[in-house]
Amino acid sequence: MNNVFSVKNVDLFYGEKHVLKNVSFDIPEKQVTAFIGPSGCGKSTLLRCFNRMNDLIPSCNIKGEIHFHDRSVQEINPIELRTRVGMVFQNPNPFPMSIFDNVAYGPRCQGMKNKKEINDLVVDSLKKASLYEEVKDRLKDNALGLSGGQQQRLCIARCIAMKPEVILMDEPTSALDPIATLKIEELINVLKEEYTIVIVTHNMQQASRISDYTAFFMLGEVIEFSSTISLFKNPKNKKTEDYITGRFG
Amino acid sequence: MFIDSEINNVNGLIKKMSSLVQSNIRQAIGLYLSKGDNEDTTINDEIVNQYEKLIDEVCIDILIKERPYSKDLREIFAVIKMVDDLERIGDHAEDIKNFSLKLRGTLEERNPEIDIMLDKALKMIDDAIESFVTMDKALAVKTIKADDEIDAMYDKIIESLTNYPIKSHTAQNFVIYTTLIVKYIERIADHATNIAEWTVYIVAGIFKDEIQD
Ligand SMILES: Nc1ncnc2c1ncn2[C@@H]1O[C@H](COP(=O)(O)OP(=O)(O)O)[C@@H](O)[C@H]1O
Ligand SMILES: [Mg+2]
Repeated sequence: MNNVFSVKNVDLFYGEKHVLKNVSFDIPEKQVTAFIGPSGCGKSTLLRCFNRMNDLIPSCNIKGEIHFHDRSVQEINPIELRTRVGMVFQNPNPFPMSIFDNVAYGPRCQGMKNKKEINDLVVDSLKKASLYEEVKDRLKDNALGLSGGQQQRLCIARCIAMKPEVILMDEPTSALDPIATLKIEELINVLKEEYTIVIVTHNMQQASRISDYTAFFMLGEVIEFSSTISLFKNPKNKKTEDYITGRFG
Repeated sequence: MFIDSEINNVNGLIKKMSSLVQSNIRQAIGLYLSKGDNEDTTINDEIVNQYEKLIDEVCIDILIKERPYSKDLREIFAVIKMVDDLERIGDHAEDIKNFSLKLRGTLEERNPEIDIMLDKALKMIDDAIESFVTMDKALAVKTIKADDEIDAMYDKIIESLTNYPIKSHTAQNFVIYTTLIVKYIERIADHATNIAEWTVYIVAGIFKDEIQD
């Protein structure tokens, strides 16, 4: 199996604060990798390293190597990197414009002008995000009128329109009700055919249900990384065992 | 922790079911050793069956409520499998009781090897249950190994039974019912082995074909 990201001996500091400690592991291609662990242990921080979102934080200082395929992420133009490595956040954040324009926004910014081409891309992206059937008659309506779950799928469609390779998701269902959550989970299961997905979740059922690999984080360290089934069935580390059986944290 | 007390509760039920099964099998063997004399047993397989149902239900409730992982999950899964083995030992206690009654009035002498095999089989049941109760992997592995001795003794005893001279009706009954009883003892040891294997699964997360030393 190919790896999309390879993390080697990464230490990360926010000022004096040591937030990631000698983290090493690989993110396999076209698989779902889940990050679990108590809050504040560095999951989102590592996720943001993958598309250099931490560059925006001045106090942030990274040591070690993160490779995207065979290149260090530091050598890749951040705009290019963020196109190939999309991100979806905890709170759905559609732009205050129409559903159509939300999805068309990125491609237009990149210079796409042909109307038919844009239209096809928007429809295709909405279909891939399992949203098209629900919104096809109101593409001109404001996206803020959608439900939370629909807004989150719109954000996924917006991400897909950029034709990424990887989709990073930071607790994408934390703000959603169980039905909307289930829809996103089903969507993730379909998307992994085409994309590599890395998802931070505090919901262990979600990790065990939808991911192929799981990394367990604690206090900035990756305690255990393995196939999800073996991590939840027979973890190798006592700390993982205590966390997933609810005896700690 | 809720799940700790729930698992404790299940373990308590397993202990009760086990001691019932241990008592039933001892009484059945006592009846056999007396050639069906002392008919006055309290063997009650129905209660054993009810325990099996109850434990299965309690385990399913825990799966729904707690969605356990790791050792908790293995324990619940193993308990569900293990009660099946306990229940089967209970069935065989009943079988041995019934066939022992058929030995009444036979004058033939029992092969002393059978007594040794019975002792070993009883020890295996006790050890298997003890290994579960105390989560003692070493005792479980020892129990699993003891099954080879039972199998060897079984082969020898059956061999001697096939050579037994059948000169009378009682000799015929003796050979048939002794053969069946010895077969049940061998099966009981298999179930004890399974119980020990489930203990290893809970403790170490490995299935029987992965157990070494
Ligand atoms: N921009 C920042 N500046 C300073 N500290 C931060 C910043 N972002 C996160 N942290 C700290 O880094 C640690 C890890 O945070 P984070 O990666 O968000 O954890 P998680 O996603 O696992 O909950 C926390 O202690 C948090 O307070
Ligand atoms: Mg986070």
